[in-house]
This record gives sequence, structure tokens and C-alpha cells, in this order.
Amino acid sequence: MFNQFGSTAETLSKASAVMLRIGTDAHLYDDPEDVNIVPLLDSKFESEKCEALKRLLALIAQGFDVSNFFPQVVKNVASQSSEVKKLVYLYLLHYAEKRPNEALLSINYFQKDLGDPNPLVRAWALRTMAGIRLHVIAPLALAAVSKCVRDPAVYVRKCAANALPKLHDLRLEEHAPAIEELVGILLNDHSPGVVGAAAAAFTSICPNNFKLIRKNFKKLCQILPDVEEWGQILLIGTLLRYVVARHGLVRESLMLSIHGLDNNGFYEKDGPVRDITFDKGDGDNSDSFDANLVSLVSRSYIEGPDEYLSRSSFPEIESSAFDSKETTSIAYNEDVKILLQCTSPLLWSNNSAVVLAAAGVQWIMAPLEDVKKIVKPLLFLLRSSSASKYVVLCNILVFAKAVPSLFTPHFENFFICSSDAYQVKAHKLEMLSLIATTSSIASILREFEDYIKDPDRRFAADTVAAIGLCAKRLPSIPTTCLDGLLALVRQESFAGDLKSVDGEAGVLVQAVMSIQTIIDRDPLSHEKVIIQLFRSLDSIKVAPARATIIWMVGVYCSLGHIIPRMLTTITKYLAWSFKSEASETKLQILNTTAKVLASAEVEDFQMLKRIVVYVLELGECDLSYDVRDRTRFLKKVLSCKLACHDPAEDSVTSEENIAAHVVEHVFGRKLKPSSPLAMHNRFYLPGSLSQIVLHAAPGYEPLPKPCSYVFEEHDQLSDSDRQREATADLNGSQESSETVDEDGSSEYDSESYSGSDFSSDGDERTISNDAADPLIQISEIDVSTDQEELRSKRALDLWLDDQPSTSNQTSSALDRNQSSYAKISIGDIGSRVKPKSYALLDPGNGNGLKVDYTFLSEVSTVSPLHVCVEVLFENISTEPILEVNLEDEEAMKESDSAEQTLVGKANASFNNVPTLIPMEEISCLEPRQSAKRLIQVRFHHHLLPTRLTLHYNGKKVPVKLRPDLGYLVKPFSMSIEEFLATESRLPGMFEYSRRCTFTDHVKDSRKENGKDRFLSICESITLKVLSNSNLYLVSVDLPVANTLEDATGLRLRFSSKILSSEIPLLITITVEGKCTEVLKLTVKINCEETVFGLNLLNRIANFMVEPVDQQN
Amino acid sequence: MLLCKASLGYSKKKQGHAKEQERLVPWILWRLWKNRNCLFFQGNEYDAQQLIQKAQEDVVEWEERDGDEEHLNKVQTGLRTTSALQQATHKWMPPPPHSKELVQAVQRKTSWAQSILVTSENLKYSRPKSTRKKGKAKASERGIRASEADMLQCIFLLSDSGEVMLEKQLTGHRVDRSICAWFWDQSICQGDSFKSLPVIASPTHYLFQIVRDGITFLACSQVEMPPLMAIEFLCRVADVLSDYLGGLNEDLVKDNFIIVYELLDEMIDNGFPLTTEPSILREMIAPPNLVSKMLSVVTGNASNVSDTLPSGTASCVPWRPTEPKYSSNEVYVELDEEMDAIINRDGELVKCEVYGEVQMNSQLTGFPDLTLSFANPSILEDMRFHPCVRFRPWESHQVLSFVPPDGQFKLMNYRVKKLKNTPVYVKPQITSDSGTCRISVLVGVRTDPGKTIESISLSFQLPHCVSSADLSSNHGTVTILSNKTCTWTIGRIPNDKTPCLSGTLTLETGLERLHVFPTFRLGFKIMGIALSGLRIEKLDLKTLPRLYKGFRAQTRAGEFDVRL
Repeated sequence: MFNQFGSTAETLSKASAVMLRIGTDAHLYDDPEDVNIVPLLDSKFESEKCEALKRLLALIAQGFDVSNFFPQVVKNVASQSSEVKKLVYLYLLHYAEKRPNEALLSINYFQKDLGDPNPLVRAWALRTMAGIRLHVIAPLALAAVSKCVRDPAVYVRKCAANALPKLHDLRLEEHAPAIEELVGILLNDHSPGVVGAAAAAFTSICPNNFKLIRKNFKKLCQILPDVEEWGQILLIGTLLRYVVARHGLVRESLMLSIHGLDNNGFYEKDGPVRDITFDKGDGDNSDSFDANLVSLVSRSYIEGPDEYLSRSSFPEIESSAFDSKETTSIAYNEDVKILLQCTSPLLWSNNSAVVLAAAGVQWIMAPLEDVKKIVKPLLFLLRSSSASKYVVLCNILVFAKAVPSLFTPHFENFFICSSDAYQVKAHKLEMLSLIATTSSIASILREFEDYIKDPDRRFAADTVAAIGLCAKRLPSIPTTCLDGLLALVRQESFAGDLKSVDGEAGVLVQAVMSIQTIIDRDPLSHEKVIIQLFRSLDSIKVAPARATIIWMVGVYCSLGHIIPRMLTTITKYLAWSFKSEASETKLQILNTTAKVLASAEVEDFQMLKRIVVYVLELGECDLSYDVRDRTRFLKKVLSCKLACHDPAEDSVTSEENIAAHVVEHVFGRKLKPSSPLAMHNRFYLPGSLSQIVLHAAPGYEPLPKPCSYVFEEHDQLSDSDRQREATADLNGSQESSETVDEDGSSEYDSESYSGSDFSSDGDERTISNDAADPLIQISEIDVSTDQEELRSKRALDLWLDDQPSTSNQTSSALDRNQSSYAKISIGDIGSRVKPKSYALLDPGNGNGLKVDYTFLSEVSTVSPLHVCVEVLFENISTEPILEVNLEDEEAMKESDSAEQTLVGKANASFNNVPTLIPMEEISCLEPRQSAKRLIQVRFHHHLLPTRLTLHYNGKKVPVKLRPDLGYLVKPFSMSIEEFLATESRLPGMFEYSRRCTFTDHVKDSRKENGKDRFLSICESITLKVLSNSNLYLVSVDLPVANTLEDATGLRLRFSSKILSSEIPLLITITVEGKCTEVLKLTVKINCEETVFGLNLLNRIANFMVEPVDQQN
Repeated sequence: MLLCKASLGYSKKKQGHAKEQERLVPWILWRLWKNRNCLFFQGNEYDAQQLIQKAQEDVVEWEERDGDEEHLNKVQTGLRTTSALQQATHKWMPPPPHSKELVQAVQRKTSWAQSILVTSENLKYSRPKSTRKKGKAKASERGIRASEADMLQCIFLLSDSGEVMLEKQLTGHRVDRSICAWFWDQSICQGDSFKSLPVIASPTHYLFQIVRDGITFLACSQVEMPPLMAIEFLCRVADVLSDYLGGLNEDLVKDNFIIVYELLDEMIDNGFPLTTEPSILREMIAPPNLVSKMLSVVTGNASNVSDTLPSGTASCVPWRPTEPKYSSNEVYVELDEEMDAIINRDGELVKCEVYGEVQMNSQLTGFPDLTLSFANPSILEDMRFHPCVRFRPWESHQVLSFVPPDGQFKLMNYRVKKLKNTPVYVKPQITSDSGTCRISVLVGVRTDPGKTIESISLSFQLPHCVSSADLSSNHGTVTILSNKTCTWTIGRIPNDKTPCLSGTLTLETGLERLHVFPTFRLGFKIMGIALSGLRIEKLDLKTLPRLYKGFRAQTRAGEFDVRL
């Protein structure tokens, strides 16, 4: 009857479970593939799409690969339903990297969504777009992020901050400065939520770019309590690193406190000093701490423990301590004070990670007496979840190792409760043995007694070990401990008989070892204990415990009065039991007998010798190779002892003398205490992952070197001043920053720098083909301008900008204020245009053949895809070079598919066109002779080099011809009206701008004093642009309202068409700044081909910054 | 070999500081010999690097102790051998016999099979390898950079049988789910101590795990990050999920996997927590409720993803949605306390403290500014606050001033220490003799708190050496589970008698007396009283005139251990 009820109840509960599952997605998870997903995806109903996507996600959740649905899913990105959109995004992010080509299809939708009025849609689009990790769309994503950084919605800005690490992760070295700039903007945001995310971005992108922090350090500190908890964690770390780098450590802090205490012992790494402090650490002196450990901790924080430990093994190299210049005092330093003030309330935070981070700051920076206040919050964390309890304990352990006195009054917090996990228990035990003092040891030992009876024997064994440690630390208690331990040994040796009881053996072994550690402090006074242990050998069956006791026989064999007399009996017993021992014990028996023999007195010698010989004989035929090895080794070492008949007898030969020395050295020495500064004393920053796993996790960085961030004076000056200074010492800092970001990016850029050196030596080429040169056209319509006329601007032919709409929304307020412009014409500068030449083959690599190439502005006659390149061959060797020719390398056919699709769409029809229109072969090149040849090349990708093969002297050398973006366009002559009309058709996502600086004119203006400043600026800019790219100068405008010195508002417009696709590309350069100083340029590109446009924009910005003397 | 050792000893004596490499030579030779033996007799092979490393360790050991090296291993590791896993001691031990199967088992996951062989035996930790596919040439040149991977890379939800229920990749650096297989293998062969280890260094990733109601939340990272951040985040995810799903178990997660996905996507972006405030998440993603379930059954579609951005994301109080409207303004405050105590084997109260939470449920219109003050704030030992609490007023005069989140939330945690007595006493007694133990436990009210003490229970784990147990009680029920967990459910203490559990335990054959003793865990609940003695003085609201305030309190037993 009851059974029936039972079954009814069961079915009922099953039924209710089924009821509960109705309306959930259970069926989708259970059978995701019971319907055909593809038609659902193509359905016109949102609900069906939704179901299909859910099924796909279920498959993903179960670990199936459903990337083959990608094309169908991507289509749905355009859906209006937010749920479908969300699901599509989830899917896209999961597979985007796997299917890059299809993922590209969705980009346009993201672009569209980025303009959506709903901030949630914008944020989602941004997150997904940045999450699709494709290099091809990275520039687009970066542009999107830089727009969203200024978004009105906080949430979108936050997502933009989160997107930055994603972009940075793609290793876009050329964009690195732009990304860092964005981080700076976001750090300056007024919303705490954004700042938190920006701090996260900062830590993963440029953790050492302290300039960004310096600007708003105070603000960041003040905003800290309002920042979201997750952001707080990282922001605290960032601020700490900044303060250390900027001001150094605090003199009053714990880290440097040893300085005052004992300067002598500070850098001694060996035992004595430490031992003294251990002895002192009886806790009654509340300020006592282990000076060596504290210094080790602080050095580890700064240098990282690996370097520090490796260095400290060579003490002579060790430099002096922290320079007093590298420290600061809290009394005078506002920054430190603010940091400490703002982090201390965070010790009350609800989030344990925040508390720990804040505690870390106080620990490192706070004055010694204030460090106390981190104790209670830390201890309170021990009542949080078991996982965080473990991590917190690990950190507390470090603190306690350095300053046990901090935690001594709170020992009750480390009492173990039954629900603790094993690791937590072990850490608590270690903690208790660290902080035990004479006043608290009684209650701690009583606790330990309870723990020993715990059913978890592993834990009990650890407790026994902890007792040993306590006894070692506190000299007053060993006797009580020893009695207890000996009782334990006796008790356990009975219990240990039972093989069924796990872990029992461990307790016994640990008890013996603890006894050994206690005895080791003062063996003489514990002679009785040693003898008791020897006696118990018979009853103890556990091999490691036996081994330890036997080892003790060897070590203490010459101690006291009783032990030496027992030795023969013991060794006899050992020899007798040798056969039945475990190999571990056998090894110890071998060692011990050898030691006993080595230190044997005359009367026992013969007896002992026989025992040893017997044991060695047994050992030689042992099954274990380790025992056999050991036996053979000992036999040889002891050969001298075994050979002689009397230990007092002096060996005659020198060889035997050496052997005797060896015996003495190996067996006779006293043991050094094991050093606690060994491997396990590795200190990493509090709260770090490395501290938990005890090795430096990838990405772990110790604190920056104190005062490593030098605060330059001109940082304080206004921006323009700084610019001037930067250029005054001839692009010092600027250049270095550039080379950093150019290094290892597309090698194209770095090549252009090295190539520029070659352009200086020699080929004074001017553009020969006048008809094709856009500058000539300008000069034709040119009304030669007088300087006087230019200065009185009213006299110039004024040209009012009647299309205010063209001034784009992103440009500065200046545009709105000044709507009238004067048009400037520039004289013929075509003759001054010197295209840059690049090295194709270095004479060093080419046996004296030097090959340079220069892009020509001519348009190829073969096809619109080809670029004319002039190649200059020069023989600088002493022998003639024969049969020089350049050929296309066939292997270039395949290239990255992603890039192919992007560029390939446009030039699909030209795919049959050869890559290289070959040149005329040079049959012979005499020494010092040079020859020019014209080749026409089709670049497969506008950034990737084309591989060619250079033949000469019958050899083949592969060379790389790198495209210059500036010559992948052709001049496209248009009037200013046409220009403006085209520009207005290409707004929004087709428009990108970048800022850069320009310095060429500074030198020019010094040189040519008579000339008008504006004119010379215009000329130098134009010259720079036209020397590096193939463009048509449309117009040069100057705002009428300008004062004499101010070049702000000067605007140059260039137009061109992309060679391959005939798509027009407009470039506008707007100038800001004073005539005589460094100018700031805003380069803006309008082009439908956004990727190409962005790349060209970067190229232009790069060469504009490049100083003139490097160029020519 | 003899010569090597001899020359070492000799040269040390004569020359003192010989060069590092010279010192290494004999040890390398020694190790070569040992390895040959190892290969010959046990069939294990080690590569050159391991050999050199071991030789270096030998040198260090020799230098340090200058004595018998065999013994030191033990002494030095001492306490540490047991916790070798997290200590990552660089000890070189021969692999256990099952290593070969293990290698074969993981060989198909070639990317990290090699490392598994190494780490699973605790030999030497090898750094997580980069699993990058793009730009790998450059990556390998530079080594792993901080930005190689950002924060958390992936979150897995594992059922209690080790099945991967969900995976959510957070960054482009995908984590293969074979890591879960590794994790599960490890937790099977290493048992509980591995399962309770929150931070694990696997061969390829750092793993963070929390276990909640049988579900393991596993997060992976490859770079340095605050481990507590990961753990706290996982806890937050678990909280939010159990709040959404009304509990946590395998079925609930599977049935609502879409919601879990959507929630995870909102909560974390690129490995960095994005929106974790429950009230805002609720606005973004609707929790499954009966109505929406019915709707979806009837109509077939119901979107639970909100179209609009919750206003809270934009405000300066991100925990509160702007301008909620309620017809009646109500605030409920609850002191929810847990009593932790340890009573040692002598019956002494070693530790007794109360860990409490101030729970609030606020349903207030507009932008209310509340102040809460206690009658006796001085008894509070430690506290932690919800982000909404302003620090200044607390620092200056111990008043909580805050703009509350909407709905249920935890305002603060506190701890009151050094309490003098407990409401319930437990008196266990045990006598053991010739293979059987007699046990008796008395439970009674020590000091009457003034309210009824409810749901008293006592649970304990029988020691391994007990083969059978026969327990009975004069009140309540006793159950013994197969894993030797005993639970005695008492409920309320009757007026007429003292509840008593008594019975006999039979020990395993060969054992005379019990030498290990269980710890009793006490559970109880008292409604209507906060045992810490903390009292709320007043709760003020500046802006709203009409306000309904409700207070209550309860105390439960927390970690209440009675040792036998």
C-alpha cells in the first residue's frame, strides 16, 4: 500500500517536473537537431528564426561545431527583433574567427547599427564588431570605437572601453598610439562606470603609460569609490603602480622600515640574522617582525622574485638598497596621501577582491602604524565563500610571514571548523604555527590536540607537523610538545598496524619528523627522547618513519654518553632486519651504518666493520637498483676504512688520504639547518594570481622601479610648447615613439624609413613628364601671387565658402566661426617634387649590386591595376655584373583569402593580368655604372609586398617590392565645386580623419626669410604630400579672418581615384597652429573604399610627421 | 661515479667557489646514470631538460645541506608534501605507473598532451601555452604578453557528473573544452582536495572554480589577473542564475540555457565584468516566470531580451533603476544572523561569534535617500557595505546613509565577536571498549533566548573505522546515509524531556578503541531575535512622507561545531 503511494508520489513529482519544464527551452537543449534548422533560419517569422538560433546555441553548448550554418545565420543580423539579434551576435562571436569571409558580410549591418538611436543596439553592435577578430576590419572597428568613445550613452562608452583591449589584442602596431589615446580619453570620462572599464583597458593595453594617469591622477583617486567594483580592483592596482613609479616607496612604510632598524643585517641572506629574529619573535614585543623577510618581500615586489632570488645567490653583485632619492615621505607627498585616503574606505567593500586590492595598497604604501587597519577587513573576508577564503588565506599568509605580530591577537580566526576545505585547513595550520606566541600557544596547542583526533588523518598529520613548527619557533614549549608527540608515536604505532586505516601512517611519520625537528635544536638535552625513539623501532612498522629514525641513528651516533654504547646493538639489529625492509629504509640503513663506521671508536671498530661489510654484501644483490647504486658508492667511499684495521691508523698514501677526506666530508659534517628562504618563499604582489600559483603567471609584472617614471618639465607646459620642444631637439621623443609603433608592424613602413637614406645619395630626378603632372595644371591657372597682396587678404580674390554643410561635423569649432576663406594659389612646385626611392636590394646582400626603386606618378598604359615603378640598378662593386633582370615570382598566386575577398571583388576581372610587365634586360653593368628601367607592377594587396625574383650573374635573388599606398591612386582633376559635391556624398562611415603634426615649414621659414609664411607653409605641405603620393591638388583655402601669425584654418584639398577601382578619394588637410611653430594637421579622407581609405590616411599621417631632412 | 663524487668533494674543499657549470658536472653524470637505470628497469624516459633541472636541484640541495641528500627531501617538504599541488614544488619524481594510459588518453588532444604528461605527475609546471592561431610567428618570438589574452577567456558550466552543460567563449582566444576533460580527470584521481581548490594551474590555462549546488563553474584565463576577481565574479554569476532560475541544478540550467547565455553575455564582455547589478540585469533580460512561460507556449514567441537600455546604466547610482513607481512605499529590514561557534572536546566554548547581514527590501518611488542607525553600533566588529552606502557618514557617526537599490538586496555584512554563550548546548559522550563504542548525545536549551528555537538538528560524520552503527533517540529522527553521515533531526525541544541520542558503534575488526572522533554540526533557527544583540534604532527617509517600515530578525546556526 505504501508502495503504491510511493509510486504515485514519484509520478506526481515527475509530472510536476515536466510541468516546470513547459515553456522553457528544455526541448531545444534535449533534441536540438530534431528539425531541419536551415529552413527555420530562412523563415520570415521571427519566432522561427529565434527557435533555430536557440537550437544552434544548444548545439554549441553541447560542444558541436555548427559553423557551417554561418552564412544563413549572418543574414539574420539585419533582423529587427532584439532577441534574434542578440542570439545572432552570440553565434557570430563564437564562430567569427573560424569563418572570416562570411563574418565580413555582417560588417555593414554593424556599421548601420552603430548609427542607431537606441544605445543598446549601438553597444551590441560595437561589442560584436570588436569581438570579431579580423585584421581586415580592425581599422573599421577602431574608427567605430573612436566614435563611440564620445557617445552620449554611458553604457556605449563603457562598451567602447571594453572593446579597446580586443583591438589591441589584434596587434595593430600602427594603431597603438590611437588606441592609447582613446584609453586616455576614456580615463578622463566623468562617469565612474566608464572610468572603471577604462582602467581595465589601461591595464591590458599600456600598463606603463603613466602619462595618461598623471594627467588625472587626483580625479581618478576621487572617483575611485564610485567606480564599479570590478573597475575598482584594477584601478587600485594602476594607481599604486603609478605612485610607485612616480614617487617611489614611502619611507615610513613597512617596505622600507628595516632601513632604520638594522642596516647591517639588511642584506645578509644567510642563517644567523634570521635565526636571531626568529628567536626574538616571541610576540611579546609587538613591533617585532622578520627584517630579512620584509626586505625580501619588498624587493620581490619591485623586482619579481625570480630575478631577485637568482640575483641574491651572487651577493657581490647586489647593489645598494633603495636609494633615498627613490623614496618619498607620506608627510610631504600629496599623491600618496590621497591614494591612501581613497583606498582605505574600500576595505569595507562588499567585494572581497576590492578589499584585498585596497589592503595591498595599504600594505605597500601605508606608514607602519597604519598597516594594522588592513587586518580586520582581511580576517572578515575569511567568512565569505570557501573559494575566496582560500585565496585570501594565501595572501594573509604572506603578510603574516613578514609581520607575524599583525595577526597574533587574532589567532582565534584561524581555528579550524569542520566545513573548511582541506587546503584551507592546511593554510590555517600554517598560519597558526606562524603567529603563535607564548601567550597564545596554550590555547593553540589545545586546539591542535583536538585536531589530532580528527577523522581526516591527512589533516591530523599536518597538525603534527604544525606542532613541530610551533615548538621550533617557541623555545619554551618543546618539552610539553615532545611528551605529547612521543605518546602519539606510541599510540599510532599500534593503530598504524592496521593497513585498512588510510593516512594513519602519515600521522606517525609526521610525528617522528616533528620530534626530529624539535630535537635538532638541542640534541644533547633530548638524548633520552632519541633513545626512546630507537627503542620504539621494533614496534614501528611504517617504512618512512623507520627510515627517519634510522637516519637519526646515523646523525646522532656520537652524541652524549649512552648512544655510542648502544650503537653496536642497534647496527646489529639493523643488519638483521635489512632483508625485510622497504628500499627506502634499506638506503637509510646503508647510510647509517656507513656513518657509524666513519665515526666509530677503536673498540667497536672491528665489529662494526663486519656489520657494514655484511650489509654492503646484502645491498649489492638487492632487487632495487637504487640500493645497489648506493651500495657500490658506499663500498668505494669506505674502501679505505674497510681496508684498514684500526680507525686510528694513519693511511699512508695520498690517495687514501683523499678518500679519508671524502669520507669525512660526506659523513662527518654537521647539517646546516634547511633554509626557509628556499623555493617556497616567493612573494608576488598581494592579490595577484602569481601569489596563489607561486610562479610568475604570464603577464605578471612586479611594481615598476621606484621613480622610474621621470616627470619631465615640459609635460607641464601647454601642448604647443611641448610640441615645439619636441621638434626643437629634432624629433627626439616623437621619433622614438614612432619607431616603436612602426617596428614590426607591416614592414612596409620601416622599409620606407630605411629607403629614405638612399634617396639622398644621388638620383636627382625630377618629374619629366610634365603633361601628367597635376602641378603643372595648377601653374597654368596660376595667378602669380605677390607677398604683399597675400598679406592684405582683402585684395586677394576672395572666395566665400557658400556651402557650410561641407564643413563636417567632426571638425572643430573653428570651422563654424570662420566661414570665409581666401583661395591661395601656389607657384610651380612640380620641379621640387622628389619622389622617394626605396631599396629593393642592398649592395651588401647583392654582391655589389644596388637596386632602388621609385614610384612614378605616370599612369600605366597596360591596365588600371598596374603601377609604374622606375628601378635604378647601380653597380658599386669592382666587377661587371651581367644579365640583370627582374621577374615575377609565380608563387605569389595565393594570398590571404580574407584580403583577397575585399580587394578581389573589385579586380576580379583583371585577375588574368600579369603581375609584372617585364623590363628590358640589362646585359652588362660595368662598375660604377647605373641603369634605369621602367617596370609596371600589379600589387595584389595594397599593403602586402609583391615578390619578384632578381636575376643577375646567373643567380636568382628573391626581392620584395613594397607598394606605396600613395601611388596606388591616380590624380583625378576636379574643380572645387565638384570636390565639395563629392565630399558631401561621402559622409559618416566613409569619412575618417586623423591628426598629426607637421614641422617641415619651420626650417623653410628660417631659410627663406623673404617669403610669405602662409605661402611657404602651403608649399611645404603640398610638396610633402606630392612627393609621397600621386594626387591632384584641388585648392588651397585660407580663412580670411586670420591674423598674420596664425595658420589655423588653412585647408588643402587633394583628389584622386583609386587605381584599381576608379573610386574617387578625397583628401582634406586642415591646419592648426602658428606659422612659426609646429603645426597640427587634421587629415581627412572621404572614400567609399573604407579600408583603403583608412590605410592611406595612416600613410599620409605617417609621412607628414616625418621630418624633411630625413626625406631628402 | 665514485670519482665524480670524490672530485666534487675534493674540489669544493680546495677551490671553494668553483664555477657553476663545473659544479654541475658530477650531478649531471649521476643523473645520467640514474636515468639509465630508470629507463632500464622501469621503462621511463626523461628528456635532457628535466635531467639538467634535476641535476641543478641536486646541486642546490648539496650546497644547502652539505649532507645526506636522501633524507632532506622529506624533511624539507615536510608539511608541504601534502599540499604539493599548489606549492608547485620543483621536485622530480618518477611518474606513477598509470601515466602511460593517461598519455594515451590525452594524446588525441595533441596540443597539450605533452604538458599533461608533465603536470599531472606534479613534475614541473609548464607555463600555459598560447593557443593563438593568428600571427603565431610573432607571438612565439615575443613570448606571452600581457595583452595576449584578456582576463577571463571562457566560462564552462559542468554538471555534477562532469558533463559540460554550457560553454561561453569570452574572447577571441578560444579555449577548447578538452580542458574540462582534463579538469574532471584530475578531480577524479585527486579527489576532494582538488575539487575544493579554487585556483588551479592546468598545463594550458589557469582555472578558477566554484561549486554551487552540484554545478561547477569553471573559468579559464591565461594571464595574470586578480584571482579573487574571477572567483567573486563566478559567485555573482551563480547568485544571479539561481535567482533567475529559482535554484540551481543541472535540469534548470539546461532548460533555460538561452537565458544563461544571454545573462553571461550581459554580465561579461571580453573577459571583464560588464553589468553585474541584479536589478539592472532584470531589466535587460526578463527572468522566466510563469506568465512568460505560458505565453511562449500559447503564442510561440516571447522575447525576454529587452529592447531598451535600462536607465540604471546611465545614472550615477548604477544599482538603481531611475524612477520606479509604487503605489505604496514600503521598506523591510531584516537582520539575518548566523552564529558560528566552536566547542572543543573539553566542552569549552572556544569561539563564538555572530555573522550577520542586513537584508533590505525596498519598494520606494523616485530617488529616496535613507538613513539607518543602530542603537549599539559599537558592538560591530567588522563590516562590509553594499556599494550604495556612503562611507563618510559611517566613518564620522556610524550611520548608514544610502540610496537603496530597488527590491531585495543585502545592505551590509557585519560580525559580532566574543559572545559569551550559545542558546543550545550539546553534550556528547563516548566510551569505547573492545571493539564497540557507546555514544550518547544530549541536546538542550542553555539560555532561553525568549523565542522558540526551531529546527534543531545535529549531523556528524562517522569515522572510517566504524563498521556499523546502531543509533536511536528519544525525540526526533535519526538517519544514517551510506556515506556514514548521520543526521539527527530534533525540531523543537520538548518541554518534558531532554532529547537524547544514544547507541553503539561497532569498530572494524582489530581495532580496540576509537582514536578519531567525529565533530558534530549543530543546526537551529530562532525567528524574531538577533542573538548578537544588535538593534536597529531608526530608519529615516528624507523625501517621502508616507512610508511603511517593517523590521524583523532571525538567527540561524552557522558554522557551529561541537567536537567530541
